Amino acid sequence: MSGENTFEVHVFAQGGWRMESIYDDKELAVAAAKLLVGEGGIEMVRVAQEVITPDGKRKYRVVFNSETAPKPAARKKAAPAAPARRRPGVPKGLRTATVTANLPRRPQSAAPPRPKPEKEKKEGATQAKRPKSPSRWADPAFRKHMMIYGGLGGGLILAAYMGLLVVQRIIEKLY
Amino acid sequence: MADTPPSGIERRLVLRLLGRWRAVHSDGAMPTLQAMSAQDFTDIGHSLFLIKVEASGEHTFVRVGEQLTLEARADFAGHPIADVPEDTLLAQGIAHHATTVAKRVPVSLGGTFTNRAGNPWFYRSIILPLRSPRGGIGHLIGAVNGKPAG
Repeated sequence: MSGENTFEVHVFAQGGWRMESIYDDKELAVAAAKLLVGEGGIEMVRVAQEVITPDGKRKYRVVFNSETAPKPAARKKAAPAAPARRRPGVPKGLRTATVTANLPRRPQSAAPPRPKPEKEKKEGATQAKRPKSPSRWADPAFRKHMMIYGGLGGGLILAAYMGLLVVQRIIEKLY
Repeated sequence: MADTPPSGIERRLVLRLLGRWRAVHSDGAMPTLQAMSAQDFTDIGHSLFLIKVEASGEHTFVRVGEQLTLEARADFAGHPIADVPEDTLLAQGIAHHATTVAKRVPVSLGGTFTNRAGNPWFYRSIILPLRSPRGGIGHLIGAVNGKPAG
């Protein structure tokens, strides 16, 4: 039994592929393969059709792959939203995307967006200027820098104010 | 195999027997006859056959289901598989037993044949290997059924 009508079900288990069964019918092979998806110890399942090339060589064409096949059952069993966790070594953008994906989505049919009052808009603008990730403040080096720059800024403002007072006194004495 | 049977023909029988074989099949090792016998075959027993694999190649039937016996008009239990007439459903079921023995995996095939009455029939079969206590293939369990073509 060989040729274009041969469909082999292959399973990936214990670190390697092995042939599981043989069929002469694609639909039956795929049906038999789908029954194996999710079985204990089986990581992947595929159906390979044997193809004879014009020069007589045997090749395999994958007609079903459990990795790329749609998994409606898996979607139904989606994991509950996990709390956002900081994952070291993951780029910031990806980290944000992951957290967003885990959050439950608000249905679009919920309350329509109401126009923001002027005050709220300003607050929103202020919030936008804040650091995007509050996790920066957990970084001791960042906190140290902010304290230094804050102190320097405050000192400068104080010095300018004192200078203004001195100038005012001088002007008062002169006139 | 001249033609391919229409879509959906008797696949249920194949998948049922395959499901029972897989249920006692662990870590890539073939199940034994003992493990397989512990299962319930009341729903498909009439279309089953069990073959004892001999090193000499003179494989013999251990059991043949009632439906197959009726269609073949003879009970072939205890007889060599070579005794089965070509124009029977049972003959179609065992036609590719050598592939199962060689590849050591279940093999399912379908097609058409002309029965004793001269009528074309579609058939679908499956043969599955069973491990002997010594490690090789000790038995083959299979199923076949069909229906008139056209």
